[in-house]
Amino acid sequence: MIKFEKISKIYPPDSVALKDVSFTVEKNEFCSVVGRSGAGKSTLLKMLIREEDPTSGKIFIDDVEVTSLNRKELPFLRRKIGAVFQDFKLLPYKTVYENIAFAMEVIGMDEEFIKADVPQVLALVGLAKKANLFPYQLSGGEKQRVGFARALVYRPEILIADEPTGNLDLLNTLDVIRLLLKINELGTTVILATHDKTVVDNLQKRVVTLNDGKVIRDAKQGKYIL
Amino acid sequence: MITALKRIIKSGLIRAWRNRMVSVATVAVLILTICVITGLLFFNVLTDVAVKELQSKVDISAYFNVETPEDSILKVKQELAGRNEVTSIEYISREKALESFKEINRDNDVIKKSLEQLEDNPLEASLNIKVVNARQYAGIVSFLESGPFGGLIDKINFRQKEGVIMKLDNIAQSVKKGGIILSFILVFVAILVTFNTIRLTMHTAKEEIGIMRLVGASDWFIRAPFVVEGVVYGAISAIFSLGIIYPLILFISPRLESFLPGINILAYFQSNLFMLLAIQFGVGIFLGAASSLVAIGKYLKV
Repeated sequence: MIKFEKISKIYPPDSVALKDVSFTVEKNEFCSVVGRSGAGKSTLLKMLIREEDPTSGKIFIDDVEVTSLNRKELPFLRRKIGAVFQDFKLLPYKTVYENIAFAMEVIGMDEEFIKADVPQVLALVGLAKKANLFPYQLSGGEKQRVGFARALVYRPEILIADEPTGNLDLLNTLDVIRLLLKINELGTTVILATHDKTVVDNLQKRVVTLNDGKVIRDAKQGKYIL
Repeated sequence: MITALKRIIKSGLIRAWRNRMVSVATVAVLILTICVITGLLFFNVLTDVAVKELQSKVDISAYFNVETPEDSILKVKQELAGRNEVTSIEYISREKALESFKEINRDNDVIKKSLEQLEDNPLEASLNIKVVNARQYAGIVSFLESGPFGGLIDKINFRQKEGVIMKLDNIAQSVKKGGIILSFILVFVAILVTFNTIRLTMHTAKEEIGIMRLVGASDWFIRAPFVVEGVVYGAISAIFSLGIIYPLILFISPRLESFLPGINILAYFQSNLFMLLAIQFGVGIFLGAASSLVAIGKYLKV
């Protein structure tokens, strides 16, 4: 269970990104956070992996208060959460295979295990033949799929996806949605931040709508309404 | 632990290779730094030898009155030998002085004839004295002139030589001091340039480091491959520096020796090869690793 408790974020001097945001995401839930650009969706997701800290408020994952973890504890938190980013965040000097393997090396997995697992995950996202290419040799859709493969390879309990379809065409977007649903069906809690109406309306899942840094709607089987 | 170490080393080596265009620039700057430091080392050895050579050419002679018995002179010699600053004393008896005087002037008939007409040997016995440092001559002179042996001594040629000795000493001191100051400045500049180059190299990794943090990598797991990369740069640079310096010394050494006899940098290089290698590798690896470490620290804040 993920719990956002009265989260506020103010960028100095007085730009309010989030104001008193509170909501809970249950285990295995699929939750979309929607809103216009600048509504605070990304900031909220970044806080979950502590890429950013709230000005006030607390975030909990199960019983752990994420917002009070120290620097040394952060890597362990991040290893529990798979993250997919709009700008992919792939390591430029590593091949597709190495990008995914890196996420496994970080948690100290055996070489044998990595060698067996990475091709499987790559096959799952349809990139089995591109294992030895570098990110710059891939299309946007392919890069995003590598991002997914990396996020999934250590079987995270939670997956956060920040505008994963932001740089993709319709076909690739639908692929990504299918992938997200599949991941969720396999038992992973998914939080998706997006401003893509097509995506949200197709999902038929819970939608939390943000506007001007505040939650203005929280619907069980919601649509993108602003 | 071993697996992690293997991964880190492999990752560092791969990074250095894939990043090779940037690596070449970094290695070039490191080579320059190592060569400058080695060059300065040689320069300091060279000035040291040159100054010593110059100082060894300086001496003073104390001339004893003709009637002074040899025993007394030898006593003075013994007394002087007990002093720490004295490096060598040579006793030149009256006979020996005459002999060398004749030898020097063997083609000069006037002198030859004049000597033949004299019944007695007119030359004085002398002690030829050398000290460690030219500044110490004044002390020796005052010891001889005002000590218990003052009456035996006719003259000391220090006063005529004093100006030259002091000038020489001043030059020697300035060269030494200047060499050391220049070395410090150049080493400082070279280290600064290297550090900055590596910092720039690592700046390209800023985004990478952020990503690694977000994927859950611990600080040392991120840092270590960059340090390995720095070490690789350092080691490669040291090897290349040696490849540049050795032929250069082979070329310069005989030329320098004909110009400054007694200075053989090739022999110095060969007999201190391991120390020089240690310095070159040490400087390269330390600079590479330390600069990487410091440069990366800045980007680990995510």
